[in-house]
Amino acid sequence: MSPLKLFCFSVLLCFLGVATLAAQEKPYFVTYTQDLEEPGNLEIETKTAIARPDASNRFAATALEFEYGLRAWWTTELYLDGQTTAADSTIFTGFRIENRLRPLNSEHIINPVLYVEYENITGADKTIIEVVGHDGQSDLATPNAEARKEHQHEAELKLLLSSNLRHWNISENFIAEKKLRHAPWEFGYAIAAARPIRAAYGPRECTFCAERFILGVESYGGLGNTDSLTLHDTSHYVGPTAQWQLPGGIRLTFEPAFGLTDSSLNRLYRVGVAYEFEHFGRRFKKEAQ
Amino acid sequence: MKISLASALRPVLFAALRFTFLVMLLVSSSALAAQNAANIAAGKRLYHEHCEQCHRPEARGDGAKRPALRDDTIGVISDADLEKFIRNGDRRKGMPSWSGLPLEQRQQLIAYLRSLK
Repeated sequence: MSPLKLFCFSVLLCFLGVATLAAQEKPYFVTYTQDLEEPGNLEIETKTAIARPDASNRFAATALEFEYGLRAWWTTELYLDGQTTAADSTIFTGFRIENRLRPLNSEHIINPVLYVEYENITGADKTIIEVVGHDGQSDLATPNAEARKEHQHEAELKLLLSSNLRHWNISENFIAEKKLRHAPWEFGYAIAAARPIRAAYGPRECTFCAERFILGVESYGGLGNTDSLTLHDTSHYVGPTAQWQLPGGIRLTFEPAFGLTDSSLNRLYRVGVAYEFEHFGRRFKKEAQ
Repeated sequence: MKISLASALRPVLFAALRFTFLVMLLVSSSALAAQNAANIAAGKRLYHEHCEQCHRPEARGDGAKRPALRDDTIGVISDADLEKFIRNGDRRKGMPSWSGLPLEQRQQLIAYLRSLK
């Protein structure tokens, strides 16, 4: 067994020793809600995007997300991105660090969350975690060897607005992104709504019962940049999304998204697998004592 | 002395009505009890998934930062206030908001907590 595999196996064993639980996550890939990670909990999620740009090869890009609840009002995340392109190569494409902060203590009809992110990725990144400016499928068609030479240091700010109204969650994100050099601000949006198939829990444990499934719809796209604040030559996507919360703490999410403009990919499939570990931080504190 | 049919049947009719009323009362109260039991069981599942990690099994707390939820503290709080607290949380003290859970689930949680007396 290689050292890397051994390390991964050890980490997995370590995780399996920790009790798991369900969170109140929604089935969105791009849109963030008001819900933060519970304090001390660690969630590990893979978000994979599969698509084929016109006149290029199919790719699968995965963002491995580590989300940790530092406080009830502060969640921090680390993303590790990579991708594989058919008839090309498999490469690591960079990392992102983000923080989400809830400024208000109680719930309101619309709940704001502030989002700050630093990205250190290459031009070969295809995870499409957000769409901004004039991002398009032509950006995803460059061969990996050439695209990875471009290094992007970017800062991203988002205003997340989200509401839980009866059984529905409705969320809107406004995105502003800037390369940390002389480059214009790029803008984007993401909106989504979802609800569980059944609101009330049943009395017995179940795997396929209606309360374990959440259905929704998500849309996102670019809004141009400060040099050309226009929808011309921008990408937009819309698609249904579904989530299944398994009893063991695993969460599966699937979203087929459809491009709405010529710049967009025709179809973009997203698959997410998440696992949440309760009181992860406390476990290490105890071991240190 | 003539007795009309209506006056003869009146006691029987009243008795039948009383019996029907009692049966309906019995059926509805047992249905309510069954519904309440189902809500408590569902609330227990929800508690296990969302609350137990902090408030410990059967809501006993840890005697320090993570309070028990079965003592007099929640006994004096109305269901409506308890539901509001679960929905809002208290982020300054580490209690997250649970507004992401549908209202029905928050009510099931309360039914379970009330059953722990």
